[in-house]
Amino acid sequence: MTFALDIGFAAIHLALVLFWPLVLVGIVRRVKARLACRRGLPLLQELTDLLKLFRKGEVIPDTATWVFRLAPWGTWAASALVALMVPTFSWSVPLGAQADFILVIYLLGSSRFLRNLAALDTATAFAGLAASRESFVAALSEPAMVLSLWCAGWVAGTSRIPEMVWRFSEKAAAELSPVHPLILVALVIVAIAENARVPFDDPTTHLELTMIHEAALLEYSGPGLALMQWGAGLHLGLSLALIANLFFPIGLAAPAELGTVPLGLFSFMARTSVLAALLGVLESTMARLRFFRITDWLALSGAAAVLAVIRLVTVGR
Amino acid sequence: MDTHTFSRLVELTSYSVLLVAVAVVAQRNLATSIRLLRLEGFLLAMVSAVIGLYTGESHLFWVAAITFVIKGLAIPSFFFHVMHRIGLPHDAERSLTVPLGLMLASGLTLVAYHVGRPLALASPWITRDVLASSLGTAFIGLSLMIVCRKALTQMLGFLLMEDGIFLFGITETYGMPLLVELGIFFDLIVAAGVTGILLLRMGGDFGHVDVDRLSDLRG
Amino acid sequence: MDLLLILAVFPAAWALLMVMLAPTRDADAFGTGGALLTVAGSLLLMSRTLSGEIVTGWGTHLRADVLSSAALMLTSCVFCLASLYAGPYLTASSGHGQLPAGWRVLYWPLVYLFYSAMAFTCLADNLGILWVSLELTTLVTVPLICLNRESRGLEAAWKYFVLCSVGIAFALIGTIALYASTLRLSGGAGSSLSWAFMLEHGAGLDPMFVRLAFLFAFVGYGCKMGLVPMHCWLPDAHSEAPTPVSAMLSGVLLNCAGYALLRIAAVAARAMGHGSVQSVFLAFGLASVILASFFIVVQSDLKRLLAYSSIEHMGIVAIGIGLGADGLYGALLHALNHAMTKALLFLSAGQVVHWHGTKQILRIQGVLRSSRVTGLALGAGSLAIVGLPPFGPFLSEFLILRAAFLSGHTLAGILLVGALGLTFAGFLAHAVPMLLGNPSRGHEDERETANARTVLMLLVTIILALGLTVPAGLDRALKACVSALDWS
Repeated sequence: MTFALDIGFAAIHLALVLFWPLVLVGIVRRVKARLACRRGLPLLQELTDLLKLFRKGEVIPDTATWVFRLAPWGTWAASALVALMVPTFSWSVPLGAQADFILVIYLLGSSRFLRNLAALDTATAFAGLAASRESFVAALSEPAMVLSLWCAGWVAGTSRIPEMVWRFSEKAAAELSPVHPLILVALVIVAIAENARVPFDDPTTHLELTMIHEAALLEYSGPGLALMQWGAGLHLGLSLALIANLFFPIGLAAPAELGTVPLGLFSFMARTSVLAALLGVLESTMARLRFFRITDWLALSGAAAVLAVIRLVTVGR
Repeated sequence: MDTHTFSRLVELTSYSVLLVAVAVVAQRNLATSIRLLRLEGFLLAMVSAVIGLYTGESHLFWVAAITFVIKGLAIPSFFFHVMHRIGLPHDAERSLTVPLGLMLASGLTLVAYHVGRPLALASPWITRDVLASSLGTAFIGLSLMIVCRKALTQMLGFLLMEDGIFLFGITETYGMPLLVELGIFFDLIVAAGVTGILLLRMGGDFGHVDVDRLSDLRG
Repeated sequence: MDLLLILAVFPAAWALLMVMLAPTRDADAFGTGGALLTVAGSLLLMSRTLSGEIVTGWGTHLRADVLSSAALMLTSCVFCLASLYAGPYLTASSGHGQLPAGWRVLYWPLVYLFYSAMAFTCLADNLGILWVSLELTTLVTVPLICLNRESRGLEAAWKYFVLCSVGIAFALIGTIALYASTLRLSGGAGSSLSWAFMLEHGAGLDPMFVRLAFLFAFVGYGCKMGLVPMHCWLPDAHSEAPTPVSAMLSGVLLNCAGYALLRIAAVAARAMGHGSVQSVFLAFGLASVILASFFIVVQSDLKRLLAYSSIEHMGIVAIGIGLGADGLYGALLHALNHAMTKALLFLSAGQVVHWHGTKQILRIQGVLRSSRVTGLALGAGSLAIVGLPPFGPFLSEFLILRAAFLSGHTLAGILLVGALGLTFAGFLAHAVPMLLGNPSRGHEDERETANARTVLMLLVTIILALGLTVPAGLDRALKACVSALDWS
């Protein structure tokens, strides 16, 4: 019985984690459209786009090697693997025992690594630029991410993300450590940077010279492009889920208790939708930064994480 | 309000004060920095009100109200006014690069933790976090004043420093006597006025407010 | 009648009166008259406190023992002399176009507010009020320094504001920490910011708190007092201010900061022992004396030379404080001597600068020939400030050196002697060419105003008298100060 329940939970989690991000992408776009006084696309437009792309044929440059072919699958698979480790509607996840935060960070890192390799592989000018820029951003954002998750882990007393979420959800708000706001600030900035959103990068830009993320995908078409975009969507969904569950763990479903599932689902969807909407507002109200100003913001996130570390090291949990 | 919730609330708010101070260092846009300063004023008013609620000392509500009006409303508006009068662009000013400034800020917070240690050990009421964030805010303001050689940033640092010391006073002693608080507010207003006049004159006489270019007096 | 409150508030009220009546023509008479009244008031207070009476006022916020009234008296005397000097000075400089006419109206009210803030500093019992008023002295003097619409004055004023506010903010942290330590007094003695209360319960205060508080307060008030390495603002501010303001800044404001520091040090010494408190004074004092003596040697600007000399003498005062009871006696006497001598020097140098239109030492010569009185004053002041007998500073420096060697601080004594020697050579090497020789063309026969002549001669007489003897009343007052602080 419990086994079946576990399977059921895993299935819901899987469905949620693979397809809900597409809706979140839709929400962000819808909010941006509304703020710009447009009606906006349907919420499921991203899914429609992906389905269409999957049906199309693929054009592969003559100069491309197997790396180019492998990259979409690799990036998607790495993101999907992480998706099995980050809690969504309940803190229990299929790969809970393996969900160490360092593993999570490096799986995400390897997905980015593959994408950058593929961008270099085709030897187009813009893609190479994009790869270099993305590495630059990642090199600055990753330390902040490692440090802030490490701090969260220290406060919770575990290195596994689902357990952190569980510990935090058990505590009353008054029990939260004062480093929470610091980690929150650090992680939000890192999430925005790593997902290549405004103000770090503009996902809707049409000027290759200023692109970071999109330029790396210039050579892709058809199913390859679909996988890449889906992978990016997964990444966004993961980030929002992580922030929602680490800092606002409200109404999480208890494992093996079917009655709590609807509430958990509703709460998760509501929380992530709110975050996505906030992201949309942010994207509409801020201008994109000049590339070399990016360091300022990432330095802020790094400083917030370092402050959290200082606090934890000098005072303790 | 029970003691635990109270102390956590004070802790969180004072940490936010520190975080806002760090964000000021990370800002190159002067206008945003002033808005952050306003936020700082609101947070401080909140802390004093919370402490007033907990201890039941009515004079803390007065302090909260005055803080709200002076630090939250009056001084930032005055600052904006001065900025417009001089005709400074919003992203002017700031000689310290942001990453360097943030490193400095982190280091200063570490120092604040260590300076605050004896106080926190001796104190039955107040945690080291509150001490460190208040002293850290003061130190960050101080470093802005000393390291940044731009007049408006120095004024910003001065106000941040005042904020940090205010937080230190209000949390460490649960409020100085009202008379002294009033005196400190009075000084703050006068200081803001005097710096405003100086800035306007510097803007008028020199056409810039860059302290680095004021170098007639040496040795 | 609340004597203390009247003494502290009267100048501010006088300033208000002057703003409201705006007597442009009689402003100088108004200003000088008020200054004489302040001297009378402080004498009255002194006569009451000298017998050991403690006067309190404004609830319990103000409190005067003999040290407070001595500080107030010194302040009011220098203030009065500077005010006597100021009237003709203002007329002359607005004639020269150095001061815009409109600003002259501002001078008197600002100076009176300045004095009022210093009076509050001297008379405050509440350390919070003491801090507030000392910060206020900074804020009030900032516009005074940039009164002469020159860009250099503006620059000096800004630096002065920035560094002094930073410094004094430290002192606020220290004050808060002291207050917090009284909150934690065992036995429910109650909390208070009063220094008298703290001195009484000093032994019960938590030494950890008090150490931190003392260090913060030392950095803060030490900055205001011009101790190295917090001194950077001082030469700029003191050299760019109008002459009477320079005299007050150097003569009495530094002493007020020193007074505040001494009050806190007395409390700290009760809680953490005299030894550690005094060693801090000693270290910073020595640093100030040594560094300032080097800067004196290489200085080329007359008023900056005097400003660095102020740093040096504040260092000597700090060394004296750091040497125990005998040293403190010498330090207090030296503060008095330095105030008078430095006022004399700034006022006579102001005269010279005004005539020559430059502060460059090399372009000034033959002052003794061009004007007998000013030359004499400048010469006597220079000889006095480098510590030659028969002037006051010699006596007090000698007392401090004696205390150093007797209390076993031989190294400090030797360093002090070395630095004094360097200053002696450096200062006189600048002063002698200015005084002797032939005046440059157009400056052969200069005349100072009657007021200036009176003030300068009065000051010369005072420092000469102080060098020949320590009057019995002064001796009694100084001894009472030392015992009031319980310094050993």
